[in-house]
Amino acid sequence: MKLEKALILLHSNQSAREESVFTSRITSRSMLLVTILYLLFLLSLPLGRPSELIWFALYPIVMSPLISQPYQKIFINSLYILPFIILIGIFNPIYDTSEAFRIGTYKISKGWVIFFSLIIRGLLSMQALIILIKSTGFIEICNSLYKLRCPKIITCQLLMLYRYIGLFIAEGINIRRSVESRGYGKKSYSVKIWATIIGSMLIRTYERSKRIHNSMLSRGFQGFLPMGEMRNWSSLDTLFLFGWCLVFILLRSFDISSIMFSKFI
Amino acid sequence: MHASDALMSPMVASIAGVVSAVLIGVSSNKIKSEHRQDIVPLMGVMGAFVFAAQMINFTIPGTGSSGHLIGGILLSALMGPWCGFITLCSILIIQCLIFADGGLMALGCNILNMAATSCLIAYPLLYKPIAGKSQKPGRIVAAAIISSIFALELGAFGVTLETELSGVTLLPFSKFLTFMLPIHFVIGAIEGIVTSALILFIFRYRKSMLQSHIEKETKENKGSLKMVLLVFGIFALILGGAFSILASEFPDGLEWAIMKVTGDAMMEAETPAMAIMPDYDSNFAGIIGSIIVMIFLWGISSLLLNRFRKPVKER
Repeated sequence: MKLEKALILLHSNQSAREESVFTSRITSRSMLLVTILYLLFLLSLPLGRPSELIWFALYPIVMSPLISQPYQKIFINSLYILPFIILIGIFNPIYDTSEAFRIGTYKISKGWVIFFSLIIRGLLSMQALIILIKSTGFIEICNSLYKLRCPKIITCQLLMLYRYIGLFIAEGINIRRSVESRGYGKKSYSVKIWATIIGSMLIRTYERSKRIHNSMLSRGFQGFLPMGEMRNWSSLDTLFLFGWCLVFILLRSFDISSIMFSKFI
Repeated sequence: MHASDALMSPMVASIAGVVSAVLIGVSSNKIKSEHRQDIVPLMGVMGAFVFAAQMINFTIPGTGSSGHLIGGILLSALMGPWCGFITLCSILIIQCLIFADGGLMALGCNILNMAATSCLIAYPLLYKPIAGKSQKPGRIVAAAIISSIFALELGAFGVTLETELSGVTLLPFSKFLTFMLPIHFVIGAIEGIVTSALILFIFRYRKSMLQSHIEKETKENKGSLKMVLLVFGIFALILGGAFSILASEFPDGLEWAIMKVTGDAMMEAETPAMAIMPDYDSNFAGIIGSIIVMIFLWGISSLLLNRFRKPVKER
Protein backbone atom coordinates (compact mmCIF):
# COMPACT_ATOMS: atom_id res chain seq x y z
CA MET A 1 0.00 0.00 0.00
CA LYS A 2 1.22 3.49 -0.83
CA LEU A 3 1.83 5.88 2.05
CA GLU A 4 -0.47 8.55 0.59
CA LYS A 5 -3.26 6.02 0.06
CA ALA A 6 -2.92 4.82 3.67
CA LEU A 7 -3.18 8.39 4.96
CA ILE A 8 -6.27 9.07 2.85
CA LEU A 9 -7.89 5.80 4.02
CA LEU A 10 -7.13 6.61 7.65
CA HIS A 11 -9.01 9.91 7.44
CA SER A 12 -11.74 8.85 5.01
CA ASN A 13 -12.95 5.99 7.22
CA GLN A 14 -13.51 8.33 10.13
CA SER A 15 -15.39 10.87 8.00
CA ALA A 16 -17.50 8.11 6.37
CA ARG A 17 -19.03 7.27 9.75
CA GLU A 18 -20.00 10.88 10.31
CA GLU A 19 -21.85 11.06 6.96
CA SER A 20 -24.66 8.70 7.89
CA VAL A 21 -27.64 9.20 10.20
CA PHE A 22 -27.94 5.45 10.77
CA THR A 23 -24.36 4.79 11.92
CA SER A 24 -24.52 7.63 14.41
CA ARG A 25 -27.50 5.91 16.05
CA ILE A 26 -26.18 2.37 16.47
CA THR A 27 -23.21 1.29 18.54
CA SER A 28 -19.98 -0.18 17.22
CA ARG A 29 -20.62 -3.28 19.35
CA SER A 30 -23.79 -4.19 17.46
CA MET A 31 -22.06 -3.59 14.10
CA LEU A 32 -19.14 -5.76 15.18
CA LEU A 33 -21.45 -8.55 16.38
CA VAL A 34 -23.55 -8.49 13.19
CA THR A 35 -20.37 -8.63 11.06
CA ILE A 36 -19.00 -11.59 13.03
CA LEU A 37 -22.37 -13.39 12.75
CA TYR A 38 -22.53 -12.66 9.02
CA LEU A 39 -19.02 -14.03 8.49
CA LEU A 40 -19.79 -17.13 10.58
CA PHE A 41 -22.94 -17.92 8.57
CA LEU A 42 -21.24 -17.10 5.26
CA LEU A 43 -18.15 -19.21 5.92
CA SER A 44 -20.18 -22.13 7.26
CA LEU A 45 -21.98 -22.52 3.91
CA PRO A 46 -20.42 -25.33 1.82
CA LEU A 47 -18.48 -24.11 -1.22
CA GLY A 48 -20.42 -26.17 -3.73
CA ARG A 49 -23.53 -23.99 -3.46
CA PRO A 50 -22.86 -20.68 -5.24
CA SER A 51 -26.56 -19.91 -5.73
CA GLU A 52 -27.04 -19.87 -1.95
CA LEU A 53 -23.85 -17.87 -1.43
CA ILE A 54 -25.01 -15.12 -3.79
CA TRP A 55 -27.98 -14.46 -1.50
CA PHE A 56 -25.58 -13.38 1.22
CA ALA A 57 -24.90 -10.28 -0.93
CA LEU A 58 -28.17 -9.06 0.57
CA TYR A 59 -26.29 -7.79 3.64
CA PRO A 60 -23.78 -5.47 1.90
CA ILE A 61 -26.40 -4.34 -0.63
CA VAL A 62 -28.91 -3.40 2.10
CA MET A 63 -26.26 -1.93 4.40
CA SER A 64 -24.60 0.29 1.77
CA PRO A 65 -27.38 2.94 1.63
CA LEU A 66 -27.72 2.79 5.43
CA ILE A 67 -24.07 3.80 5.83
CA SER A 68 -24.35 6.25 2.89
CA GLN A 69 -21.80 4.45 0.76
CA PRO A 70 -22.63 3.40 -2.83
CA TYR A 71 -22.49 -0.39 -3.24
CA GLN A 72 -20.46 -0.11 -6.43
CA LYS A 73 -17.72 1.66 -4.44
CA ILE A 74 -17.73 -1.09 -1.79
CA PHE A 75 -17.74 -3.72 -4.54
CA ILE A 76 -14.78 -2.14 -6.35
CA ASN A 77 -12.85 -1.80 -3.08
CA SER A 78 -13.44 -5.49 -2.34
CA LEU A 79 -11.95 -6.55 -5.70
CA TYR A 80 -8.38 -6.16 -4.48
CA ILE A 81 -8.72 -9.44 -2.56
CA LEU A 82 -9.19 -11.31 -5.88
CA PRO A 83 -5.54 -12.07 -6.81
CA PHE A 84 -4.91 -13.90 -3.52
CA ILE A 85 -8.17 -15.88 -3.76
CA ILE A 86 -7.48 -16.77 -7.40
CA LEU A 87 -3.96 -17.91 -6.49
CA ILE A 88 -5.30 -20.36 -3.90
CA GLY A 89 -8.52 -21.35 -5.68
CA ILE A 90 -7.25 -21.83 -9.25
CA PHE A 91 -6.07 -25.35 -8.43
CA ASN A 92 -9.63 -26.53 -7.76
CA PRO A 93 -10.67 -26.66 -11.47
CA ILE A 94 -7.47 -28.60 -12.20
CA TYR A 95 -8.00 -31.20 -9.48
CA ASP A 96 -11.78 -31.68 -9.69
CA THR A 97 -12.97 -32.10 -13.27
CA SER A 98 -16.15 -34.03 -12.46
CA GLU A 99 -19.26 -32.48 -13.95
CA ALA A 100 -21.45 -30.20 -11.83
CA PHE A 101 -23.89 -29.06 -14.52
CA ARG A 102 -24.10 -28.19 -18.20
CA ILE A 103 -24.74 -24.94 -20.02
CA GLY A 104 -25.82 -26.13 -23.44
CA THR A 105 -22.99 -28.28 -24.67
CA TYR A 106 -20.46 -26.91 -22.23
CA LYS A 107 -19.62 -28.99 -19.19
CA ILE A 108 -18.99 -27.01 -15.99
CA SER A 109 -16.84 -28.95 -13.56
CA LYS A 110 -17.25 -29.03 -9.78
CA GLY A 111 -13.78 -27.49 -9.50
CA TRP A 112 -14.97 -24.38 -11.36
CA VAL A 113 -18.11 -24.20 -9.18
CA ILE A 114 -15.93 -24.29 -6.02
CA PHE A 115 -13.58 -21.70 -7.53
CA PHE A 116 -16.50 -19.42 -8.37
CA SER A 117 -17.93 -19.91 -4.85
CA LEU A 118 -14.55 -19.07 -3.31
CA ILE A 119 -14.46 -15.80 -5.25
CA ILE A 120 -18.00 -14.89 -4.12
CA ARG A 121 -17.10 -15.77 -0.54
CA GLY A 122 -13.94 -13.67 -0.70
CA LEU A 123 -15.73 -10.65 -2.16
CA LEU A 124 -18.64 -10.82 0.29
CA SER A 125 -16.43 -11.25 3.36
CA MET A 126 -14.32 -8.28 2.23
CA GLN A 127 -17.46 -6.19 1.62
CA ALA A 128 -18.70 -6.99 5.16
CA LEU A 129 -15.35 -5.87 6.56
CA ILE A 130 -15.43 -2.65 4.52
CA ILE A 131 -18.96 -1.93 5.80
CA LEU A 132 -17.77 -2.48 9.38
CA ILE A 133 -14.80 -0.15 8.86
CA LYS A 134 -16.92 2.57 7.23
CA SER A 135 -19.62 2.40 9.90
CA THR A 136 -17.64 2.18 13.15
CA GLY A 137 -15.09 4.40 14.78
CA PHE A 138 -11.83 2.78 15.76
CA ILE A 139 -11.74 4.50 19.16
CA GLU A 140 -15.22 3.16 19.87
CA ILE A 141 -14.06 -0.36 18.96
CA CYS A 142 -11.16 0.03 21.41
CA ASN A 143 -13.64 1.15 24.09
CA SER A 144 -15.83 -1.87 23.31
CA LEU A 145 -12.81 -4.18 23.64
CA TYR A 146 -11.99 -2.58 26.99
CA LYS A 147 -15.58 -3.12 28.20
CA LEU A 148 -15.38 -6.73 27.04
CA ARG A 149 -12.45 -7.17 29.49
CA CYS A 150 -9.77 -7.19 26.82
CA PRO A 151 -6.35 -6.61 28.51
CA LYS A 152 -5.69 -2.91 29.13
CA ILE A 153 -2.27 -3.17 27.54
CA ILE A 154 -3.69 -4.12 24.13
CA THR A 155 -6.44 -1.45 24.17
CA CYS A 156 -3.87 1.21 25.19
CA GLN A 157 -1.50 -0.05 22.51
CA LEU A 158 -4.24 0.15 19.87
CA LEU A 159 -5.14 3.71 20.90
CA MET A 160 -1.49 4.79 20.94
CA LEU A 161 -0.85 3.17 17.57
CA TYR A 162 -3.97 4.77 16.10
CA ARG A 163 -2.87 8.15 17.47
CA TYR A 164 0.65 7.98 16.00
CA ILE A 165 0.10 6.05 12.80
CA GLY A 166 -0.97 9.17 10.86
CA LEU A 167 2.05 11.06 12.17
CA PHE A 168 4.48 8.35 11.11
CA ILE A 169 2.87 7.88 7.71
CA ALA A 170 3.27 11.63 7.17
CA GLU A 171 6.92 11.34 8.25
CA GLY A 172 7.36 8.40 5.87
CA ILE A 173 5.95 10.52 3.03
CA ASN A 174 8.41 13.33 3.87
CA ILE A 175 11.34 10.91 4.00
CA ARG A 176 10.44 9.28 0.70
CA ARG A 177 9.87 12.65 -0.97
CA SER A 178 13.21 14.03 0.22
CA VAL A 179 15.04 10.86 -0.85
CA GLU A 180 13.32 10.86 -4.25
CA SER A 181 14.12 14.53 -4.81
CA ARG A 182 17.81 13.72 -4.31
CA GLY A 183 17.69 10.43 -6.20
CA TYR A 184 17.50 11.66 -9.83
CA GLY A 185 14.49 9.52 -10.67
CA LYS A 186 15.37 6.50 -8.53
CA LYS A 187 12.25 5.00 -6.97
CA SER A 188 13.79 2.53 -4.50
CA TYR A 189 17.19 2.07 -2.93
CA SER A 190 19.75 -0.51 -1.94
CA VAL A 191 19.37 -2.21 1.44
CA LYS A 192 22.35 -0.23 2.82
CA ILE A 193 20.86 3.18 1.99
CA TRP A 194 17.42 2.02 3.09
CA ALA A 195 18.82 0.82 6.44
CA THR A 196 20.52 4.21 7.01
CA ILE A 197 17.31 6.12 6.29
CA ILE A 198 15.02 3.82 8.27
CA GLY A 199 17.60 3.34 11.02
CA SER A 200 17.84 7.08 11.67
CA MET A 201 14.03 7.21 11.64
CA LEU A 202 14.05 4.39 14.21
CA ILE A 203 16.42 6.29 16.51
CA ARG A 204 14.23 9.40 16.19
CA THR A 205 11.20 7.22 17.01
CA TYR A 206 12.88 5.95 20.16
CA GLU A 207 13.74 9.49 21.24
CA ARG A 208 10.20 10.58 20.50
CA SER A 209 8.81 7.82 22.73
CA LYS A 210 10.89 9.22 25.63
CA ARG A 211 9.52 12.73 25.05
CA ILE A 212 5.97 11.41 24.76
CA HIS A 213 6.39 9.46 28.00
CA ASN A 214 7.64 12.58 29.80
CA SER A 215 4.73 14.65 28.53
CA MET A 216 2.28 11.89 29.49
CA LEU A 217 3.76 11.73 32.99
CA SER A 218 3.39 15.48 33.35
CA ARG A 219 -0.33 15.06 32.54
CA GLY A 220 -0.84 12.44 35.25
CA PHE A 221 -0.25 9.23 33.26
CA GLN A 222 -0.44 6.20 35.56
CA GLY A 223 0.35 3.40 33.18
CA PHE A 224 -2.86 3.21 31.13
CA LEU A 225 -4.81 5.58 28.92
CA PRO A 226 -8.31 6.61 30.08
CA MET A 227 -11.12 5.28 27.89
CA GLY A 228 -13.64 7.78 26.52
CA GLU A 229 -17.41 7.84 26.97
CA MET A 230 -19.23 5.00 25.26
CA ARG A 231 -22.67 5.08 23.68
CA ASN A 232 -25.25 2.98 25.48
CA TRP A 233 -26.86 -0.05 23.89
CA SER A 234 -30.30 0.98 22.59
CA SER A 235 -33.40 -0.86 21.37
CA LEU A 236 -32.32 -0.01 17.79
CA ASP A 237 -29.15 -2.05 18.39
CA THR A 238 -31.19 -5.02 19.63
CA LEU A 239 -33.51 -4.76 16.63
CA PHE A 240 -30.57 -4.45 14.25
CA LEU A 241 -28.79 -7.46 15.75
CA PHE A 242 -31.80 -9.79 15.95
CA GLY A 243 -33.16 -8.67 12.58
CA TRP A 244 -29.97 -9.55 10.74
CA CYS A 245 -29.55 -12.70 12.81
CA LEU A 246 -32.96 -13.88 11.61
CA VAL A 247 -32.09 -13.06 7.99
CA PHE A 248 -28.79 -14.95 8.21
CA ILE A 249 -30.53 -18.02 9.71
CA LEU A 250 -33.08 -17.96 6.86
CA LEU A 251 -30.37 -17.58 4.21
CA ARG A 252 -28.36 -20.41 5.75
CA SER A 253 -31.31 -22.76 6.27
CA PHE A 254 -33.16 -22.43 2.96
CA ASP A 255 -32.00 -22.51 -0.63
CA ILE A 256 -34.03 -19.47 -1.66
CA SER A 257 -32.89 -19.59 -5.28
CA SER A 258 -34.26 -23.12 -5.79
CA ILE A 259 -37.54 -22.15 -4.07
CA MET A 260 -37.94 -19.02 -6.19
CA PHE A 261 -36.71 -20.33 -9.52
CA SER A 262 -37.92 -23.94 -9.40
CA LYS A 263 -40.75 -23.03 -11.80
CA PHE A 264 -38.31 -21.87 -14.46
CA ILE A 265 -36.28 -25.08 -14.52
CA MET B 1 0.96 -12.38 3.32
CA HIS B 2 -2.34 -11.95 5.15
CA ALA B 3 -4.77 -14.87 5.14
CA SER B 4 -8.27 -13.93 4.01
CA ASP B 5 -11.66 -14.75 5.58
CA ALA B 6 -12.70 -16.59 2.43
CA LEU B 7 -10.00 -19.21 2.97
CA MET B 8 -11.03 -20.07 6.53
CA SER B 9 -13.70 -22.34 7.89
CA PRO B 10 -15.50 -21.08 11.05
CA MET B 11 -13.93 -23.91 13.10
CA VAL B 12 -10.32 -23.16 12.07
CA ALA B 13 -10.86 -19.40 12.47
CA SER B 14 -12.42 -19.87 15.94
CA ILE B 15 -9.63 -22.14 17.22
CA ALA B 16 -6.94 -19.77 15.90
CA GLY B 17 -8.84 -16.83 17.44
CA VAL B 18 -8.97 -18.50 20.86
CA VAL B 19 -5.27 -19.47 20.77
CA SER B 20 -4.27 -15.91 19.75
CA ALA B 21 -6.48 -14.41 22.49
CA VAL B 22 -4.75 -16.65 25.07
CA LEU B 23 -1.31 -15.61 23.76
CA ILE B 24 -2.31 -11.92 23.94
CA GLY B 25 -3.52 -12.46 27.52
CA VAL B 26 -0.26 -14.20 28.53
CA SER B 27 1.85 -11.47 26.84
CA SER B 28 -0.14 -8.72 28.58
CA ASN B 29 0.45 -10.34 31.97
CA LYS B 30 4.16 -10.71 31.25
CA ILE B 31 4.43 -7.02 30.27
CA LYS B 32 2.41 -5.98 33.33
CA SER B 33 4.74 -7.95 35.60
CA GLU B 34 7.73 -5.95 34.25
CA HIS B 35 6.19 -2.73 35.73
CA ARG B 36 7.56 -0.52 32.94
CA GLN B 37 5.43 2.59 32.49
CA ASP B 38 7.49 3.83 29.53
CA ILE B 39 6.57 0.72 27.56
CA VAL B 40 3.10 2.09 26.56
CA PRO B 41 4.40 5.07 24.50
CA LEU B 42 7.40 3.04 23.28
CA MET B 43 5.21 0.23 21.93
CA GLY B 44 2.80 2.74 20.40
CA VAL B 45 5.39 4.68 18.44
CA MET B 46 7.40 1.56 17.53
CA GLY B 47 4.23 0.03 16.08
CA ALA B 48 3.56 3.20 14.09
CA PHE B 49 7.20 3.22 12.95
CA VAL B 50 7.05 -0.39 11.70
CA PHE B 51 3.74 0.35 9.96
CA ALA B 52 5.23 3.33 8.11
CA ALA B 53 8.56 1.57 7.44
CA GLN B 54 6.66 -1.33 5.81
CA MET B 55 5.56 1.09 3.09
CA ILE B 56 9.03 2.38 2.23
CA ASN B 57 10.46 -0.12 -0.24
CA PHE B 58 14.04 -1.12 -1.02
CA THR B 59 15.55 -2.83 -4.06
CA ILE B 60 16.06 -6.59 -3.76
CA PRO B 61 19.68 -7.25 -4.85
CA GLY B 62 19.99 -9.06 -8.17
CA THR B 63 16.34 -8.54 -9.16
CA GLY B 64 14.33 -5.67 -10.50
CA SER B 65 11.70 -5.94 -7.78
CA SER B 66 11.40 -4.28 -4.41
CA GLY B 67 10.59 -5.53 -0.93
CA HIS B 68 9.62 -4.19 2.47
CA LEU B 69 10.19 -4.83 6.16
CA ILE B 70 7.85 -7.09 8.19
CA GLY B 71 9.36 -6.29 11.55
CA GLY B 72 8.65 -9.17 13.99
CA ILE B 73 12.28 -9.98 14.81
CA LEU B 74 13.23 -6.28 14.83
CA LEU B 75 10.51 -5.40 17.37
CA SER B 76 11.50 -8.36 19.57
CA ALA B 77 15.18 -7.38 19.40
CA LEU B 78 14.34 -3.83 20.47
CA MET B 79 11.62 -4.41 23.08
CA GLY B 80 11.60 -8.11 23.93
CA PRO B 81 9.35 -10.90 22.60
CA TRP B 82 6.20 -10.12 24.61
CA CYS B 83 6.16 -6.42 23.76
CA GLY B 84 7.12 -7.25 20.16
CA PHE B 85 4.22 -9.69 19.94
CA ILE B 86 1.64 -7.23 21.32
CA THR B 87 2.95 -4.48 19.00
CA LEU B 88 2.78 -6.71 15.94
CA CYS B 89 -0.73 -7.89 16.96
CA SER B 90 -1.87 -4.27 17.20
CA ILE B 91 -0.45 -3.58 13.71
CA LEU B 92 -2.39 -6.57 12.35
CA ILE B 93 -5.60 -5.40 14.09
CA ILE B 94 -5.20 -1.87 12.67
CA GLN B 95 -4.47 -3.30 9.20
CA CYS B 96 -7.67 -5.36 9.46
CA LEU B 97 -10.04 -2.82 11.05
CA ILE B 98 -8.86 0.33 9.26
CA PHE B 99 -7.22 -0.78 6.01
CA ALA B 100 -9.26 -3.98 5.36
CA ASP B 101 -6.00 -5.95 4.97
CA GLY B 102 -6.65 -9.58 5.95
CA GLY B 103 -10.00 -10.46 7.50
CA LEU B 104 -11.89 -10.29 10.75
CA MET B 105 -12.34 -14.07 11.07
CA ALA B 106 -8.80 -14.69 9.80
CA LEU B 107 -7.30 -12.27 12.33
CA GLY B 108 -6.48 -15.08 14.77
CA CYS B 109 -4.74 -17.05 12.03
CA ASN B 110 -2.78 -13.96 10.92
CA ILE B 111 -1.68 -13.29 14.50
CA LEU B 112 -0.46 -16.88 14.83
CA ASN B 113 1.20 -16.99 11.40
CA MET B 114 2.88 -13.62 11.48
CA ALA B 115 3.27 -12.37 15.04
CA ALA B 116 3.53 -15.53 17.18
CA THR B 117 5.96 -17.32 14.85
CA SER B 118 8.45 -14.45 14.73
CA CYS B 119 8.19 -12.96 18.26
CA LEU B 120 7.32 -15.95 20.43
CA ILE B 121 9.01 -18.83 18.55
CA ALA B 122 11.81 -17.66 16.24
CA TYR B 123 13.12 -14.87 18.48
CA PRO B 124 13.54 -16.72 21.81
CA LEU B 125 14.52 -20.06 20.29
CA LEU B 126 16.81 -18.92 17.48
CA TYR B 127 17.69 -15.22 17.50
CA LYS B 128 18.68 -14.97 21.17
CA PRO B 129 20.90 -18.10 21.30
CA ILE B 130 22.61 -17.35 17.96
CA ALA B 131 23.17 -13.62 18.62
CA GLY B 132 24.45 -14.58 22.09
CA LYS B 133 25.60 -12.34 24.89
CA SER B 134 28.58 -10.90 22.99
CA GLN B 135 26.38 -9.43 20.21
CA LYS B 136 29.07 -9.46 17.50
CA PRO B 137 27.96 -8.09 14.09
CA GLY B 138 28.49 -11.44 12.33
CA ARG B 139 26.35 -13.25 14.89
CA ILE B 140 23.62 -10.58 14.67
CA VAL B 141 23.45 -10.99 10.87
CA ALA B 142 23.35 -14.80 11.14
CA ALA B 143 20.73 -14.67 13.92
CA ALA B 144 18.49 -12.22 12.04
CA ILE B 145 18.63 -14.17 8.76
CA ILE B 146 18.13 -17.64 10.29
CA SER B 147 15.33 -16.55 12.64
CA SER B 148 13.53 -14.57 9.90
CA ILE B 149 13.66 -17.51 7.49
CA PHE B 150 12.43 -19.87 10.22
CA ALA B 151 9.59 -17.49 11.21
CA LEU B 152 8.39 -17.04 7.64
CA GLU B 153 8.63 -20.74 6.82
CA LEU B 154 6.66 -21.55 9.95
CA GLY B 155 4.11 -18.88 9.00
CA ALA B 156 3.79 -20.32 5.49
CA PHE B 157 3.38 -23.79 7.00
CA GLY B 158 0.62 -22.36 9.22
CA VAL B 159 -1.23 -20.75 6.28
CA THR B 160 -1.03 -24.01 4.32
CA LEU B 161 -2.25 -26.09 7.25
CA GLU B 162 -5.13 -23.72 8.04
CA THR B 163 -6.21 -23.54 4.38
CA GLU B 164 -6.08 -27.34 4.05
CA LEU B 165 -8.00 -27.87 7.31
CA SER B 166 -10.61 -25.36 6.13
CA GLY B 167 -11.13 -27.46 3.00
CA VAL B 168 -11.12 -24.61 0.48
CA THR B 169 -8.50 -26.05 -1.84
CA LEU B 170 -8.21 -29.43 -3.49
CA LEU B 171 -4.46 -28.94 -3.93
CA PRO B 172 -2.77 -31.70 -1.87
CA PHE B 173 -1.02 -30.56 1.29
CA SER B 174 2.45 -31.64 0.11
CA LYS B 175 2.08 -29.84 -3.24
CA PHE B 176 0.73 -26.75 -1.52
CA LEU B 177 3.76 -26.78 0.79
CA THR B 178 6.22 -27.15 -2.09
CA PHE B 179 4.53 -24.10 -3.62
CA MET B 180 4.54 -21.98 -0.44
CA LEU B 181 7.80 -22.84 1.33
CA PRO B 182 10.36 -21.84 -1.37
CA ILE B 183 8.67 -18.43 -1.90
CA HIS B 184 8.68 -17.74 1.83
CA PHE B 185 12.29 -18.93 2.14
CA VAL B 186 13.32 -16.12 -0.23
CA ILE B 187 11.06 -13.58 1.52
CA GLY B 188 12.49 -14.70 4.88
CA ALA B 189 16.08 -14.31 3.68
CA ILE B 190 15.33 -10.77 2.44
CA GLU B 191 13.54 -9.94 5.70
CA GLY B 192 16.59 -11.27 7.58
CA ILE B 193 19.04 -9.14 5.58
CA VAL B 194 16.93 -6.01 6.10
CA THR B 195 16.42 -6.70 9.83
CA SER B 196 20.12 -7.36 10.37
CA ALA B 197 21.00 -4.14 8.48
CA LEU B 198 18.71 -2.17 10.79
CA ILE B 199 19.93 -3.86 13.97
CA LEU B 200 23.55 -3.29 12.90
CA PHE B 201 22.76 0.40 12.31
CA ILE B 202 21.32 0.64 15.83
CA PHE B 203 24.26 -1.40 17.16
CA ARG B 204 26.68 1.09 15.63
CA TYR B 205 24.98 4.38 16.46
CA ARG B 206 22.73 3.77 19.47
CA LYS B 207 23.82 0.59 21.16
CA SER B 208 21.91 1.44 24.32
CA MET B 209 18.64 0.82 22.49
CA LEU B 210 19.60 -2.84 22.19
CA GLN B 211 21.90 -3.08 25.15
CA SER B 212 19.40 -2.02 27.83
CA HIS B 213 17.14 -4.82 26.76
CA ILE B 214 19.93 -7.37 26.33
CA GLU B 215 21.42 -6.66 29.77
CA LYS B 216 18.07 -7.41 31.30
CA GLU B 217 17.55 -10.53 29.30
CA THR B 218 20.98 -12.15 29.61
CA LYS B 219 20.22 -12.83 33.28
CA GLU B 220 17.39 -15.10 32.30
CA ASN B 221 18.79 -16.23 28.95
CA LYS B 222 18.73 -19.99 28.90
CA GLY B 223 19.00 -20.35 25.14
CA SER B 224 21.92 -22.29 23.65
CA LEU B 225 23.05 -23.96 20.44
CA LYS B 226 21.50 -27.19 21.73
CA MET B 227 18.15 -25.41 21.82
CA VAL B 228 18.62 -24.29 18.19
CA LEU B 229 19.40 -27.82 17.07
CA LEU B 230 16.44 -29.15 19.08
CA VAL B 231 14.07 -26.68 17.40
CA PHE B 232 15.36 -27.53 13.94
CA GLY B 233 15.14 -31.25 14.75
CA ILE B 234 11.52 -30.99 15.88
CA PHE B 235 10.65 -28.85 12.84
CA ALA B 236 12.32 -31.35 10.49
CA LEU B 237 10.49 -34.24 12.17
CA ILE B 238 7.12 -32.48 11.82
CA LEU B 239 7.74 -31.63 8.18
CA GLY B 240 9.13 -35.07 7.40
CA GLY B 241 6.23 -36.76 9.14
CA ALA B 242 3.70 -34.61 7.33
CA PHE B 243 5.32 -35.30 3.96
CA SER B 244 5.57 -39.05 4.53
CA ILE B 245 1.90 -39.31 5.57
CA LEU B 246 0.83 -37.29 2.55
CA ALA B 247 3.14 -39.14 0.24
CA SER B 248 1.37 -42.38 1.08
CA GLU B 249 -2.04 -40.75 0.99
CA PHE B 250 -1.85 -39.12 -2.45
CA PRO B 251 -0.75 -40.72 -5.73
CA ASP B 252 2.19 -39.23 -7.60
CA GLY B 253 1.77 -36.86 -10.52
CA LEU B 254 1.77 -39.54 -13.25
CA GLU B 255 -0.67 -41.80 -11.38
CA TRP B 256 -2.91 -38.84 -10.72
CA ALA B 257 -2.85 -37.80 -14.38
CA ILE B 258 -3.66 -41.36 -15.54
CA MET B 259 -6.47 -41.63 -12.99
CA LYS B 260 -7.94 -38.33 -14.13
CA VAL B 261 -7.71 -39.25 -17.82
CA THR B 262 -9.40 -42.63 -17.38
CA GLY B 263 -11.94 -41.15 -14.95
CA ASP B 264 -12.88 -38.47 -17.44
CA ALA B 265 -13.12 -40.99 -20.28
CA MET B 266 -15.53 -43.10 -18.25
CA MET B 267 -17.53 -40.06 -17.33
CA GLU B 268 -17.81 -38.99 -20.96
CA ALA B 269 -19.12 -42.43 -21.88
CA GLU B 270 -21.85 -42.24 -19.26
CA THR B 271 -23.01 -38.79 -20.37
CA PRO B 272 -26.12 -38.80 -22.56
CA ALA B 273 -26.04 -37.24 -26.04
CA MET B 274 -26.11 -33.46 -26.22
CA ALA B 275 -29.43 -31.74 -26.69
CA ILE B 276 -29.76 -29.21 -29.52
CA MET B 277 -31.40 -26.58 -27.34
CA PRO B 278 -29.46 -25.43 -24.26
CA ASP B 279 -30.71 -27.28 -21.21
CA TYR B 280 -29.95 -25.33 -18.07
CA ASP B 281 -29.38 -27.29 -14.92
CA SER B 282 -31.22 -26.31 -11.72
CA ASN B 283 -27.99 -25.15 -10.07
CA PHE B 284 -27.10 -22.89 -12.98
CA ALA B 285 -30.65 -21.48 -13.12
CA GLY B 286 -30.34 -20.75 -9.40
CA ILE B 287 -27.08 -18.86 -9.92
CA ILE B 288 -28.49 -16.74 -12.75
CA GLY B 289 -31.71 -16.05 -10.84
CA SER B 290 -29.81 -15.06 -7.71
CA ILE B 291 -27.54 -12.72 -9.66
CA ILE B 292 -30.56 -11.03 -11.28
CA VAL B 293 -32.23 -10.53 -7.88
CA MET B 294 -29.04 -9.10 -6.40
CA ILE B 295 -28.60 -6.69 -9.33
CA PHE B 296 -32.23 -5.60 -8.84
CA LEU B 297 -31.61 -5.03 -5.10
CA TRP B 298 -28.39 -3.19 -5.95
CA GLY B 299 -30.46 -0.82 -8.11
CA ILE B 300 -32.90 -0.21 -5.23
CA SER B 301 -30.04 0.36 -2.79
CA SER B 302 -28.53 2.92 -5.19
CA LEU B 303 -31.85 4.76 -5.26
CA LEU B 304 -31.93 4.79 -1.45
CA LEU B 305 -28.30 5.94 -1.16
CA ASN B 306 -29.01 9.58 -0.33
CA ARG B 307 -31.94 8.74 1.91
CA PHE B 308 -29.74 8.18 4.98
CA ARG B 309 -27.10 10.78 4.24
CA LYS B 310 -26.89 13.63 6.73
CA PRO B 311 -27.73 17.04 5.21
CA VAL B 312 -24.57 19.07 4.63
CA LYS B 313 -24.49 22.08 6.93
CA GLU B 314 -23.71 25.37 5.23
CA ARG B 315 -20.91 27.30 6.80
